[in-house]
Amino acid sequence: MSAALAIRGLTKRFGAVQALTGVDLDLAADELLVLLGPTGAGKTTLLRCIAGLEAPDAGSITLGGVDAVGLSPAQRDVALVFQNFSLYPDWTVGENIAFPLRAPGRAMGADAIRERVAWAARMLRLTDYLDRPASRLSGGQMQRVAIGRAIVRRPRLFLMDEPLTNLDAKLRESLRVELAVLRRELKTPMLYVTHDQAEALSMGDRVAVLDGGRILQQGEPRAVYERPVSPAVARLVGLPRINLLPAEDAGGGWTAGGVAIVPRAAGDPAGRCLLGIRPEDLRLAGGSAPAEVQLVEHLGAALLVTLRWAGMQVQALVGKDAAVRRGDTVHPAADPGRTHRWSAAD
Amino acid sequence: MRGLAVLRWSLLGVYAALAAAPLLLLLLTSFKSPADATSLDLKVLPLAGSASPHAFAPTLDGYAGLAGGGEGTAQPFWSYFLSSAIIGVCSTIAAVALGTCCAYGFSRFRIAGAKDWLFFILSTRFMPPLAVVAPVLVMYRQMELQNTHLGLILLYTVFNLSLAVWLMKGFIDEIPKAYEEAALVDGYSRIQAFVRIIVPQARTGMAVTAVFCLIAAWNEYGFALTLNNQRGVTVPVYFAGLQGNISGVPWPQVAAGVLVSVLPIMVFTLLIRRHLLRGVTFGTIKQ
Amino acid sequence: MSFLALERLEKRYPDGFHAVRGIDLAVERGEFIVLLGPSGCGKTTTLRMVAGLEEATAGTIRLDGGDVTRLRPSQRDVGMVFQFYALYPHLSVRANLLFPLENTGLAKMQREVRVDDIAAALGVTHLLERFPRQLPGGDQQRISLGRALVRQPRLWLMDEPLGTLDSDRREELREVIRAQQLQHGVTTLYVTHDQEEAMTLADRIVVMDQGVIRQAGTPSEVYESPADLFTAAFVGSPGMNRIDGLVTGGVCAPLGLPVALPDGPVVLGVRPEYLHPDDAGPLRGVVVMDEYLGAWRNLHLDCPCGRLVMRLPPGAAHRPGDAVGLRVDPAHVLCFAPGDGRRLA
Repeated sequence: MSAALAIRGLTKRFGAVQALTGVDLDLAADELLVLLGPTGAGKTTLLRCIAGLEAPDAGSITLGGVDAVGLSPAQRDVALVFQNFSLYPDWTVGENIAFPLRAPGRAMGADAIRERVAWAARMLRLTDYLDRPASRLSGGQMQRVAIGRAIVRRPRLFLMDEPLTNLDAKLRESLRVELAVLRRELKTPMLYVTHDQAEALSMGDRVAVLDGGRILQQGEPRAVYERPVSPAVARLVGLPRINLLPAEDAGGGWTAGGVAIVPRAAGDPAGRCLLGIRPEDLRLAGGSAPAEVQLVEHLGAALLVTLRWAGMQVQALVGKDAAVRRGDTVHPAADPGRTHRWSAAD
Repeated sequence: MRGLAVLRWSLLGVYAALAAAPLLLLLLTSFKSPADATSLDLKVLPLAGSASPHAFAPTLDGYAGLAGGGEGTAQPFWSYFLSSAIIGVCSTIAAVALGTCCAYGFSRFRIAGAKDWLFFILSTRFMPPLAVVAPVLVMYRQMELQNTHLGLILLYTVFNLSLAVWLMKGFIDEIPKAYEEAALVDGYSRIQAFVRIIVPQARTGMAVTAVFCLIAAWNEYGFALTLNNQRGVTVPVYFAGLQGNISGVPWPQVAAGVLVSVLPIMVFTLLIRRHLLRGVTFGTIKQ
Repeated sequence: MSFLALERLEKRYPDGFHAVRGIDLAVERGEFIVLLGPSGCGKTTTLRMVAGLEEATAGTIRLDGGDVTRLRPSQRDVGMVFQFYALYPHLSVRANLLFPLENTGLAKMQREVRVDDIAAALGVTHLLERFPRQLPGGDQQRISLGRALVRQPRLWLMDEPLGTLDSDRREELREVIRAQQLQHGVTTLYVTHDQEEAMTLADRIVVMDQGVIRQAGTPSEVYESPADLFTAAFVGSPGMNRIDGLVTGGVCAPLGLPVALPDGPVVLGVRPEYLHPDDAGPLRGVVVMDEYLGAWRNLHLDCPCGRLVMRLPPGAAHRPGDAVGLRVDPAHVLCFAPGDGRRLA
């Protein structure tokens, strides 16, 4: 079976701005791939190239084994959900959802349309709202209708461009789970663009990290989070952000700013390295070098502690039973097996 | 891609030629003698002493005629031009200024019956203006506004105002409220915020509105003819006057006058072109 | 007497919408207060009434001892940051920062010094001659933070200032805001719908819903000891689990916990981190979704008592459909009244 989507060497330039450089990407049937990257990374451009709204300068896009470059957006049969849900405010929810089915060339009967709309509404728990005008919906309901408009035509591929970004944080949280469950039931491949860490790690079967128009790493969320290939990926994936410390080899262990931080492990690079420690891997006791607690933030289930350690500012995520206050002195330590080392040249 | 560019430029070229042809013909005519202007031969080559039937000897008589009085018109062209300029500029400024203030009010405040008011303002344009020429004439006679600049200025301002309000409301609606609110919190009064923040951002809209108002005032004929036939007469009326010329219509003089009178509008539009183009990319805030 | 006091403050719009229904709030000098709630809860309206951009329908706003309820915004001496930056697009960054100082009667030299100081503090000195539209959102919002502070106002008001930024910029600016607030000691009202932002920034969180204050307290008070079900569900990511229970003879089903409550229905609240997998536990559920989040995972379960979420270390993944047994930390079970959601114990 051919991949739902295969991209090779995709390159796109806008005037002086190189938006995408040699992007290779595969999406298996029934897979959700998250594209994670900061603003301006090229995520949206990539999505628009796949949808046929932008023409790439070079490279190939294959949809279900068919070369898609040169096909019109309608011929590609992909559904795109935007960050700004554009519904027709005077139409009812049902009319909004039915709209793509009434497109010329689709020639669906009224009964078939009604059936499809009812199915989409059921999937999105919108059945009770079908006759309500779109203008009288809440933000979360509107975005559900927008998603309904995408799923109703059963496209071969979903493209989601930060669909939850404009919603309240609380709503985002619940829709995130809803959307992932829905996608699993639909069994339609999906490419999901976001800059939200929680969405990237929790929703995808795989995640691709995009920055500066290039894919830096792709793989299962856990693999990317636990084994980032470069400091850049480590910094882009995970919140609170990873601590990166320039360290020197001092015989038995790594030192930063002249104080010992962690012991050496087998396979460590020699000389200098960039040491990465995830906040949750940093303990507040057991180490040798002292650190001053600068700030303790209550994150609900955990505490985020900001420390001055070895002349650097680092953060540790600890359980909320930890007795730590601003101004305390602690001795942080990290298990060498849970830290990351990149040779300084990276 | 190259083929496309060639096609694009040749289409543009054809259109430019079509659009420029009447102006070019006017320009040529303005340099002809009355006889050459009405000759049955198409005279397009401004070459003195040429034997070609298409050549004519260029002369400045048409332009000189603009300076002279008599011959169907009481004063030299330039005095009409001055009247048009005074009336056009003043009524444009008044309409844009009032329209902007009024539009700001409609855009920002809760006004009882705002929609009805706006409809009423628009409705003043439903009737052809000339339908009210008689009552206006009577009124102006009583108020002694006939044959004054002020009279036409007021009239044109009123006629242009509805357009100005509607156009400006569209533009001001586009300016996020947060800008003035920031200024209010920063220690400015509502009027200061309007002048310092809103007006500079509404410049594009004001430029567009001014172009429309100026063109309307500049070209208006019916009221100008009826109300101002002795003093404060405008350019369109001047041309009408030339038609009554005993020695036939002096076409070179008409051509010269038309060219001179469209010049200010063209210059004005070119001057504010930057603003007009900015109007296309309006919307500075990502929302 | 408190520095800022809202007394029975109310806002009703002409169309009948009752946005704020008589709230009371006392803020001490230098306090960082976050108004937290879903959209439409009245938090922004409250902030705008304090700024003077909305007129209060009833009630009083006292600032530093004086009644400012009917004063114009320009007379209140407050600085405000808007969600969409609202930098004046036709003015350079420097002119934007100078703008609030022009009406203050400060000498030109002093104004320049103030602008240079605030620009340096916010790290935007190199942008002073640029125009807002040339700058990315994060820089624009930095500058608008500065514009609201440069006059050294009595109050710093912020309306979802980080709402439109991506997570990197958001975290960065959060630190800037906190640092500036501490340094200037300026009393701050901050509106957000993001509970994490509220938890990390606030001295005190004011949770609002439908025009009323549900609870005002420190982040840990609001998180660990919510006053009602709304606060319990809104604060925390994900919010508190709710389990419908029944008390009979001092014992509460389905958890089998002893409670000092009369017989009858009750709603139990448990935070996701106080649920633990235990095959012998009193609850059973089927995995709906296993959300991997890096430092931990959220396991969403369908139980007979409803949907529950359990927070687990990032260990082995569960598959959808797996059956899991649960127990709860008895010390961290809260009881709420089923009707109005009030906290019982």
